[in-house]
Amino acid sequence: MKKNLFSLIIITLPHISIILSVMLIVFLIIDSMNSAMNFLGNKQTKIILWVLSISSAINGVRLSEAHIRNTGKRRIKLK
Amino acid sequence: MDTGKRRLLVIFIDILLIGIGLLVYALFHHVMPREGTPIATPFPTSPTAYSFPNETEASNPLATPTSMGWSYEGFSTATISDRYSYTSKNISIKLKRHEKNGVVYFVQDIHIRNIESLKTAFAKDKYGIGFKDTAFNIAEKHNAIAAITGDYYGARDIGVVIRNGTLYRDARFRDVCVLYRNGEMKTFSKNEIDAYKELQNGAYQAWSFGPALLDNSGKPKTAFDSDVKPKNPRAAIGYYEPGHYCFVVVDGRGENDSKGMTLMELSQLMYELGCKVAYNLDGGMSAQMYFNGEIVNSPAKGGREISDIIYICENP
Repeated sequence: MKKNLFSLIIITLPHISIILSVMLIVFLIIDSMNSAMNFLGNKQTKIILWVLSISSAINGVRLSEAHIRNTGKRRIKLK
Repeated sequence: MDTGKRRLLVIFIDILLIGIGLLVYALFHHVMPREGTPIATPFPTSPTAYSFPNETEASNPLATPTSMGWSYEGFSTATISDRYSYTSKNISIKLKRHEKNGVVYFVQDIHIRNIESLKTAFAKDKYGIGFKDTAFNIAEKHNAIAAITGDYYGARDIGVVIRNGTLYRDARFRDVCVLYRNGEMKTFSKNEIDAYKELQNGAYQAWSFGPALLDNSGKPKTAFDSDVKPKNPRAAIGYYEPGHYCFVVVDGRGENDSKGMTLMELSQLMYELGCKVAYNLDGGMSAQMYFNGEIVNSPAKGGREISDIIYICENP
């Protein structure tokens, strides 16, 4: 059960990063045209930034881990 | 399901979730009403400072300066009102429509005897995020004679908000315009404003939208602390001297065959009108002017609901 939940989170994390990144790009575009709406400095955006940062960090760690693993496998094959 | 179809499905779900995310964000950011509370109440002022002059004590109370109210020859003992003007013993408003270089704009030249005749009102009479109503409805509800769009404070959670002497929000956001109980108006940059200090100095209203349209010497500006610089419908408040102000609304985006104004053009207009201080309020679809029971300009796309107005009314 715990394993399933963990793997579900791991599968979902890249999509969370994609969704939140696109949302932030939308806010950046709106903010460059009309910053009076304060799309970047409010509490909701800060929450999005926190979630995006954490999910991006985890995704990054997973990607680099996978990269190291793949490189290791390739080296073994070459040997 | 093959890989291509699965990939398309995943992309579709991601795009759908982006849309849902943006909708939920908008709901929490500026749609769902959230009531706020004042953070500082008015400081006590002298009760006699703004009472009306007793007409029996003065030979010509309407034109004679007194320490108890501002004088102006245009006040009248009887209340006279038509589509383009309003005069009473306390208020004189003249509305003019101008057309210049393909731009239509309206100017309300306002004289008041007492600062209490210039008030601000919130939509639904509630301070907070997400409370909205039409400028017409807010003006009618408060028996306004003349009114103009405010700073749409409810669209964001930053910016100094002082309304009718009460401090509601103290979070800096760009230029601030302060109207004091003594009738004077000043503009401050983001770094200069101290809301509590100004409240102690007698601040009666403070708006946070901007930018300030004239420099400290009353000359037009060429650089502005704003993103909305291109031609647009505009709303602005101008100050000549205590008791003498103007409301200006510029039509744009094709309404009334008017192109709107850039901030530089609006700055020049306020200077040509003779204002000493001028401040840009919320424009675009919000830019609306009310006078004697009707919206006099042609708001872009029919206008939108706003969170606050500035209005002129007779004192109770």
